[in-house]
Amino acid sequence: MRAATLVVRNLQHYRSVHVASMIGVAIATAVLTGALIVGDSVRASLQDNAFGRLGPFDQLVRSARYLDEAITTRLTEHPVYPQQYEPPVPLVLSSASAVHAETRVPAPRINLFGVDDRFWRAATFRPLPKLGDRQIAINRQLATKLATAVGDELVLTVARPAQISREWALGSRDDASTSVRVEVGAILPNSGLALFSTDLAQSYPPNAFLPLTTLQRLLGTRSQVNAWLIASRHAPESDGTRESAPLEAALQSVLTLGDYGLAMHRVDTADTVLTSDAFVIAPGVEQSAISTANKRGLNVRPVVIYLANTIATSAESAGVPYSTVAGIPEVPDDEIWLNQWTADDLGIARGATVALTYYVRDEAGTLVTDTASFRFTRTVPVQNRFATRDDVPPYPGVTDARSLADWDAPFPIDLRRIRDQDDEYWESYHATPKAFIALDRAVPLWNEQPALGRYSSLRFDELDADGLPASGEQAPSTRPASTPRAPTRTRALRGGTGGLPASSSESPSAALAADLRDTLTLADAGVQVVAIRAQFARASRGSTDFSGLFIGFSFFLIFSAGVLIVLFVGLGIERRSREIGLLQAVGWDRRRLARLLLAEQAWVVMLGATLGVLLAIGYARLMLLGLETAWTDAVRAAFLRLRLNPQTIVVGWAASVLLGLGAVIVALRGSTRRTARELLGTAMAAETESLRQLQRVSRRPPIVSASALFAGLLLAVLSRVTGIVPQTAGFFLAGTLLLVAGLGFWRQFLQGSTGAHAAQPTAMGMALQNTLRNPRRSFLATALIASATFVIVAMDAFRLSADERSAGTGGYELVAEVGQPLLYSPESARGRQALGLDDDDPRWAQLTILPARVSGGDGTSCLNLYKPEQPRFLGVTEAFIRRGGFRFLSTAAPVSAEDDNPWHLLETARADDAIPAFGDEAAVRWQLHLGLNGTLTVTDEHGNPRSIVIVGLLQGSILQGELAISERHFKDLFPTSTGFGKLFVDTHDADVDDVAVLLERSLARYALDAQRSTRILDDFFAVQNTYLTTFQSLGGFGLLLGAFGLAAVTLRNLQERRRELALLLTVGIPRRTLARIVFAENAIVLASGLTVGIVAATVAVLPAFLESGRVASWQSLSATLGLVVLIGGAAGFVGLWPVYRQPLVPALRSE
Amino acid sequence: MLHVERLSKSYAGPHGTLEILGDLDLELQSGQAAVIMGPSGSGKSTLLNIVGGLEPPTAGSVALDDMDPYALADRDLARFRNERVGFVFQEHHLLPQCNVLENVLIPTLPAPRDPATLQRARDLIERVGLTERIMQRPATLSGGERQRVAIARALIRDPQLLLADEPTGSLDQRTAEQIVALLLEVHRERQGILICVTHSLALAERFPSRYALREGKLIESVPMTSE
Repeated sequence: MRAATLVVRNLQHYRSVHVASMIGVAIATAVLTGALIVGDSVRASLQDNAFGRLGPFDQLVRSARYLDEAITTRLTEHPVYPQQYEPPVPLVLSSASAVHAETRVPAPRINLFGVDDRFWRAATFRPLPKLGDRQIAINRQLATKLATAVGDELVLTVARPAQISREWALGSRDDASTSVRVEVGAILPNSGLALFSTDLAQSYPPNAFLPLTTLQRLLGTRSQVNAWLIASRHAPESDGTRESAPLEAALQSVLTLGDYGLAMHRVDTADTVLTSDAFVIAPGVEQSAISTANKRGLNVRPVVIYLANTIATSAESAGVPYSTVAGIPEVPDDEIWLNQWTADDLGIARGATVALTYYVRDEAGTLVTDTASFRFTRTVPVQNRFATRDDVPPYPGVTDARSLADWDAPFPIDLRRIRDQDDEYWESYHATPKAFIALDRAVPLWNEQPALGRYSSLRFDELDADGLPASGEQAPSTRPASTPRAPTRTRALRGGTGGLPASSSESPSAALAADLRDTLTLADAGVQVVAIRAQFARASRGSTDFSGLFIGFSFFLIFSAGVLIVLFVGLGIERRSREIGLLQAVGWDRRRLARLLLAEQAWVVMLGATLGVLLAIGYARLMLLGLETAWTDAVRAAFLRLRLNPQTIVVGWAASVLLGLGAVIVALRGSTRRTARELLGTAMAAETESLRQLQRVSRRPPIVSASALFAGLLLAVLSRVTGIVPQTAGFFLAGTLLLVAGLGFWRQFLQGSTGAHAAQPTAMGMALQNTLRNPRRSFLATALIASATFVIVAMDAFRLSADERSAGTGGYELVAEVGQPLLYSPESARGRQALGLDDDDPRWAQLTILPARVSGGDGTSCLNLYKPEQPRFLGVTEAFIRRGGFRFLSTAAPVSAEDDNPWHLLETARADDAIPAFGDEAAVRWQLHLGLNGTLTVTDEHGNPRSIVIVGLLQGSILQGELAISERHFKDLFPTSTGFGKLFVDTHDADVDDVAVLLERSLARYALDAQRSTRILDDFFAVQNTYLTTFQSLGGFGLLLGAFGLAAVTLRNLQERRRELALLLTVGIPRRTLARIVFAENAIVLASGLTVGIVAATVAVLPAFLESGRVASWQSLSATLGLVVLIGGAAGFVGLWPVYRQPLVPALRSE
Repeated sequence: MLHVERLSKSYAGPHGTLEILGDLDLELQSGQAAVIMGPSGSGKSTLLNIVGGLEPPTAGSVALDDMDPYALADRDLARFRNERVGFVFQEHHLLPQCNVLENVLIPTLPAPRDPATLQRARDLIERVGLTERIMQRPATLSGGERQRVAIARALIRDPQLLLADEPTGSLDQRTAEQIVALLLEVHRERQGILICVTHSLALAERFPSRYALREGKLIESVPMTSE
């Protein structure tokens, strides 16, 4: 007989016993491997969903400015580009709002794309839409939202772009949007390019597609686009992504100064002036220009240009109207220089005070006038070297006007103020500046957004041998004075300077322009090359690792399965005590015996794991189905598909085998320690071993339990308060240690309470003693119940209830989002008037409406499964900050006693220049994987990396979707972002629904959509509560396992004690009393498990509760625990069957 | 008084009905100690079980002081066994998780708590010579000591009827004699009925009343011959 033969025989003979162990292994495998499969499936589904929306494209070129569509041709003619990439597909990216023309059903925020056949050829769906000039194609998502069909008409409202920022004081706010009526020409399926988007979320975006030329005409951007989609020719990386560097290089080489919106003019033999069609020179361009100048040994003089409504000597005098004024570095701080014409017109003497009156924007965004006074100290010629008409950037409607009367300006002009001499000046000198103040005064007065740009022009002077500018004081313009300036944009040529005759291409200015063009970066043009497929691949890894999450919360289920394995293997070994004793008696040593048993169990484990892998697929399918149905609030998308990765399955199988073998080793450890005499003896031998176990436990000091308790408490606190230990891992580790500690203390407590008694026995006393007859079995059954209880209680404690919503709203009953940005703040009466609202309605006075700016980017709320790469920001105003509100989990710095409003932290200047931000705790922790004082790097509009530091964590707030920063910092990051995108409304005592209707009706043309704050919170809470429900379900499964284990233990115990039962019946103990004893034994295990589980859960979640101030939902917890008691109690009833059915006499006879 | 009249017990088997006891009569008075002998499978234990209220007869009647246990409801039958009958088994059936004192007190579980009961248990333990082992568990006792505990347990409720089914079956000769001597001693100290079943002639000799069980019937005053 060989050992292998014995193993095979044992497997066959004890197959009924092995089946139970196999089931335990199969369950553990199914859960572990199933969790891994779920994670794979979610990741793969997210990626497929993301990639599907891109079609064949992997690169996106997007521009903050509209660029010449001719760049498409330039790229295809580039020597390198065609080798690497397919011809670029130009398109216009825009946003809009839509309303069904008949039913008025709105879609406040939609993605609107201007595309042509080059885009549609890349689509995989058929038929491709063939759209007329006034037709639109929409996807099914949008069609459903609008309840529209082909042939219906929609009214689209689109935001018009502006080269000069509307945020600038003199930026136009009149033509911010335009509306058009279009016919639905096609409804596209919710797949492929019909779902194209540049931001990623699992929900289907509402997309609309217009013919490119139609949208260009609508936006007033003829032959211009702001994006290109590009497909690479070369092979992708292993993750399906491709490089962007060759594209960036090619693009940079084909852009001209005109594409950057820049124009360079030579004004004399030495000076060259650089201006921008944005009216201010962007910081990046400024730096590049200075760098270029330095390389060529040139001096750079910045100039600020503005419009003064009046230059006057006193408030009473009419003064000079509508004049260009310049800020230059030569003028001392509080002085003003006037050109000769102005000085003569004012009749002013040196030393007199001159007041400049000009337009600025107030907090509401409306135009108000402000005045600054200076001391007149010098007169300069009209044509001078400080600043001329060439320094005035193009301002459509003004600089291209023939006369003052022809001005078409977006600000109020009183034409009655214009005098003949003013017209004559314009005819002779056009926009030549009449007054000059200090540059350092001009910038803060008129260019208060440094991120947009500080200067209107840059003058490049040659330096003479003394290092002084080589030009003389008078530098006449090269153009006849009567010729109005054409828009700069059309005069910028590739590699050359705008507006110069061909012969001047050899001039230093041409070389300077070429140098500047080579120095400028794509970011200076507001151009970004995004490896969008790579970006989507990264985002698809998700903010939350579903594999880890499901494993984490299934941990106790896996633990329960492991305990079950130990239990059943132990029971099986005990049944074979005599066989094992015999082998020992005939000379098998313990090691050989252990190898035999392990070899046998290894086959059981591997078979169980293999079965478990099959079950795992079903388990994963069930979990995914659950996520799409009962638990849909967690994912909110129906795109999850099962993805089987062979590697994952092998890993799951192997891990489960290791887990199973570990459990087997634990079970075998005790068995092989017993002597042959004990194993071959009667039941008394087993009791001798039990006695030995009890004595061993009672003598051992509770070092292990105490250590586990300490470690568990430490982990629970560390993971919550600091970032040393990740939250989730810390919670589970702490829970495990606390359970171990609790079970250890329980065992020693019971042992201490069941010492030798000298008293009349009671039913409960006997039940207690019986519980410890086989301490290992009772301990394992208790551990099963305790771990399941832990999961259920701990998860329920995190459930968010309606009571917790109120602080999360910050006192704002409504949050409104707009499809078209609000250029004026409705907070004040002036702003409401500017918005065209009926301010006579008394309801307005009852409300507090605080606007906030919203950037593009990825939402950070838990509603988004994708990992946010570039989070969305909320720019909050000073009024919002002053008002405060919301509940904070923690802040980076303590607030002062005088001012307990943490919101002021957003305005604190930091030595590291990082931008302080607040985030909702759930978003920061789970989406961004940061904590308090955590930092992340984002890219601003200029392409510069900027550091954001989290200085406050909001608790359960409506601000989960964005990171909140101050408005000042927002404008710094996104200088060209226009208007307010959100309104926070405190209705005070007014009816909330009534106010919502008022807002939506009054601001309908901005596509305003108002929502109750509590509903927003409900949506956020639903995600978390759904996850908790999911994981509680797993805990419930663990409980069933525990009950199954308990029933098995009970039956096994009673089987072994049947003669004892018979004796008790014989001596006249009524069956009812016996039933009470048996039931009490079960109840003790159940109660112990419940107690240990509840205590461990409470201690594990206590730091979270103390930190958050949250209160547990006792009703829900009580209901859950009641279910635990019910199921556990039902297991106890199983034990009553043999008590009532036990025949007396046969059990008394010897076996 | 124990009165058994026309007692029969049969079992249905695969090959027909198996009659174990047939028309058996027995009458014992208080203070009487009887031994029943018979070969293995003769029905000795069955007779003891029926008399002790563990197993109902197929026919006939049993009465202890005119009380027929099989006319009682289950709960009353249990009380009958608890209060009126004491059993000593060959396998002693001690509870391994209880110490000597606790094992002796087991039959008092249904009874109200009474300090006198505890003292009685201690007295019985002393009577059977196990005072020094009173707190020890059965695993640490010898076979004879365990049987002594079983005897003390059987007597804790001061039963009218003490039934010993092969109480010395798993003991050596010397210990068996000690156990039988103990049984008879404690019986003499009481006014109950003792019925002992054995197949040992040597032990049977010590009993004043002897019966043989043959072919399902009891025969009194069996001649002293080996089985």
